[in-house]
Amino acid sequence: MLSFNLLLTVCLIYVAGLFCVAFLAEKNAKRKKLGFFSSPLTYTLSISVYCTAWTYYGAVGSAARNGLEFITIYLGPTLVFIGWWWLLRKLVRIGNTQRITSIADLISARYGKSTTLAVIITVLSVIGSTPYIALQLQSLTLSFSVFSDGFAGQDPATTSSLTALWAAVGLAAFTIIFGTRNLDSNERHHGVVSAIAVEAIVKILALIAVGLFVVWGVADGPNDIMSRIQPQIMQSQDIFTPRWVTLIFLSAAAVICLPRMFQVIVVENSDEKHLSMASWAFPLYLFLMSLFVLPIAIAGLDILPAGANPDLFVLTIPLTQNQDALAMLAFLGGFSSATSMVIVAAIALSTMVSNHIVLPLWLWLTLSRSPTSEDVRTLLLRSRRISIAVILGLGFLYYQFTSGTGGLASIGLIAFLGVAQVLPALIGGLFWQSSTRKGAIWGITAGFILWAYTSFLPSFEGNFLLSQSAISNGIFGFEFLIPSALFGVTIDDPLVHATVWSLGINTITFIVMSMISLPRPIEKVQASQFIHIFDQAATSTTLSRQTTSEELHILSQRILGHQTTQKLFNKAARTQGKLSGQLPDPTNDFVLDLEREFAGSVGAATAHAMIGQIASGEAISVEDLIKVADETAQIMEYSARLETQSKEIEQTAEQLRQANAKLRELSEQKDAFLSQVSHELRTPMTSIRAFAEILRDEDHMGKDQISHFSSIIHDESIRLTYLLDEILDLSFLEHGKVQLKLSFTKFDKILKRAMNATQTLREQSGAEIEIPYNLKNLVIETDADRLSQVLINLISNAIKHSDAEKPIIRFKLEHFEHTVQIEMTDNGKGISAENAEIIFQKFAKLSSEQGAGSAGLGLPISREIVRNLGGKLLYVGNNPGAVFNIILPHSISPLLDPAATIEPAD
Amino acid sequence: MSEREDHSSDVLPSSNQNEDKPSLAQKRNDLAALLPIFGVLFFATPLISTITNDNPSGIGGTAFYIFSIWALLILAAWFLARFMRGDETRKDEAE
Repeated sequence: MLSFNLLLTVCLIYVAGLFCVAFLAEKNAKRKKLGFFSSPLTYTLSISVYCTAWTYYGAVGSAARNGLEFITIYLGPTLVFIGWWWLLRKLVRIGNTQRITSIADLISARYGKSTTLAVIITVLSVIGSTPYIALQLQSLTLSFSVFSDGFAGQDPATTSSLTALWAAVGLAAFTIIFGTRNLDSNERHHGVVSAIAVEAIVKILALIAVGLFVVWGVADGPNDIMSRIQPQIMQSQDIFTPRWVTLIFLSAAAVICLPRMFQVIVVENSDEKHLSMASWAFPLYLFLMSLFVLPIAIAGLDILPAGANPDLFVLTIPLTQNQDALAMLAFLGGFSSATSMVIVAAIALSTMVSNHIVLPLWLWLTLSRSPTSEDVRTLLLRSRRISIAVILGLGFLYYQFTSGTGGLASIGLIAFLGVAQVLPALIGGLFWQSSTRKGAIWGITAGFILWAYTSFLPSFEGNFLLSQSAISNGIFGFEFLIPSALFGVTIDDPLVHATVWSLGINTITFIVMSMISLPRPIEKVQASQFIHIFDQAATSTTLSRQTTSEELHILSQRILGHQTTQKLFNKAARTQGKLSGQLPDPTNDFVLDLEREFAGSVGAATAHAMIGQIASGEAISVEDLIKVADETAQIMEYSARLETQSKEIEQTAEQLRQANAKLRELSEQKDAFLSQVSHELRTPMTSIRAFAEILRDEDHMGKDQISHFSSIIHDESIRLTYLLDEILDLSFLEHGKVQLKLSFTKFDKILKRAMNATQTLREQSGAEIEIPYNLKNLVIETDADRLSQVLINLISNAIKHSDAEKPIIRFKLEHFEHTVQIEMTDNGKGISAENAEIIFQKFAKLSSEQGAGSAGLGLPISREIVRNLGGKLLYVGNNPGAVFNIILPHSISPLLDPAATIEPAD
Repeated sequence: MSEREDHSSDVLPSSNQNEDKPSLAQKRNDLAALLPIFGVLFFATPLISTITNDNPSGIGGTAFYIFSIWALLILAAWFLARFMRGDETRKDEAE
């Protein structure tokens, strides 16, 4: 038989070895040369922290008592891992991108970085895990007691208490040393993970070794083992029972929701690809762990005396067969199982406690006064160390109070159900957009209360809160409150009963509360970030914040430490194109990055609160939401904007083209006009020059001749002046710069003036003008001089271009609502179609006749005058002589309003 | 939601892939998603009792059934993981 001291020595050497491995891994991690320590194999092995002492020893015990039921605890995780594509992949991606530090952090971050949720889940996790830790201490002491049995002079109870205490202290020391050595921004613990990977190898080797020994050492091969099956293991009833399904479901939920499992699977994951190996390697590990459980149980029941504790068969079979080395290996396997679980659970829980309870509390306390000197890092590390000690202390106390009662045996499954209360909120958070913080809080709380009432408190068997009578007869004697038959629902198996009630009510409450409450803006943002984690490259939130780089720098130094802060800020400054040494601008991107870094140390909710404390601009507007919440919407919005832009550009280009064409046309008109003007000016100038030269050179000229030539020069000058006046006049009229002398005038007066001006012409041609009586009496507001100018022009044109023997010009008046139309018809042959197009053009030379003294500006000027008078001058065709219409407003004043433009609309 | 996903995959087509590659990868992903459903079907539905109850060898037969299915699932997961990883490394190389 092995001596207790030898056992202790081997144990200490083993622990020293673990210390070395952890230390080596930490050292390599610092040099970024992790190699094996960050391989997918290490990752997979670290996940085996799922197999605690409860499963290492207890599986055999369970097999000895209930046959194949033990296997469900392994099948659940197997299903989760081979289905990693569904859930684990998403969890790990979110964990890595959002710097999630724990399951409480994940849920709180998903539901708008809610501190309340984080606290609830932390409390739930601590309550659920403490008995579990106690269970490990019990396993350790039990396995020690196997060796110390018969150790003289010691009271067994004292010995086991002492063993448990020392185990707790030792584990606390190891955890504190490697779990809280520093604050990693990713909350990864390479040392611990490596040590756990080694332990994982030890425990599977130990179990397989014992199994092989049992099958081929004790028995004579598999067939011999199967022939030794005892009747109590024989499958007496259908294996598919509600309990079977419940256990598979609970173990599947636990592998995700247990704080320590979340820690190793999500938080400690450094590369998403490791998951693809774990997807088959971890189920294989579980497969190997359970392969020999049944043979060991059968052999134990067969060869060991009746009454031997089946939970310790793994140890006692080799011992009774005098296989000391094997027994030692088996013991180390159990030792590894217990210690690795306790270490990881303590780290996970201490992170949760310090991030979600201690830090928010400290933040709340320092909210009023500006926190200046406190170092968050020191605070965090200290609170974590204390938390670890407290958690292990709680485990020890729990063990002390419950050892001796049978309560511990079933606590593993009860803990599973406890942490599974997080599941609805977790799954909802990852896949259901409308789930809200309220739904999560109420669902988890309701599930937690029901779990405590139907499962957790009854497990104390009347020693804690619920009395024995309350458990069996219902609280206050109300029968519908019996914990194992709530509201008369009788399900034989208390675990199934508790699962149905707690998770059922939890899920229903979660869904109903989510439906009737509205998510806050930040929840919507987080929801879309979590649910569509694979769709988004890098979502840029556009929250506007007001803070300074100095404040951020101070805060960052306090949380991340000097070195990391320096590195981060320098990097950010470089990306922003600043010189080294300068602080980067507090842009949104930078602040968000920083918040994510903080989240790695203190959790999302606290990081958010800390940033929020110094950076205002928490409120997210609806516009912001539209921008950030939905990447697809962004892309669509962007493309829509592009479309509008390109349409606008097209329109602008079209307008520019039109403007360009118009400008070119105008420029051509101007050139033509200039050449025509110079041509028109040239003719009189030439004759003036010629006659002036004659006057100058000819000495002997008669007086008559001189006077004749001078009068020609004079006439030409007048014509020139007249022409220039006309051009000037037209230019004024065209630009609307002409001064109108407006007054209400009788049309008769205007006509008389025109008649006078054209008297000579009329008399020479014998022309006759017919004016109706109503036109003579017409009174309109207009510029009489200008209007008579138009009439003169039209009349003289009609007479000049008339080919009739006796030109007759008829006027006609028509009234409209706001305007009058004066129609003028002559009896000539009309204007040819060819000429009709050009009569209103400047310097238009009609193809046939051209009267002397006409520069071709008469009609353009007339049209401009009428336009300036608020009307239109139109040539409407031949009947058979030319017909012109002058359309004028009754009153021009309202049209002169600067807002109204005068545009000829023909 | 499916509409949105379709849309995003339209916007971001996988690069450097042959015509048949994305569909093959998609099939593998679908298979990976199906695997746990098979697991549930064989382990956590009455299927397990109909198969094992016919077996006269009792617990041994049931254990044999469970361990066989389990091994098959692990094997399938291993195959899928291998292929998916191979696919990823190929993609990395292509990039």
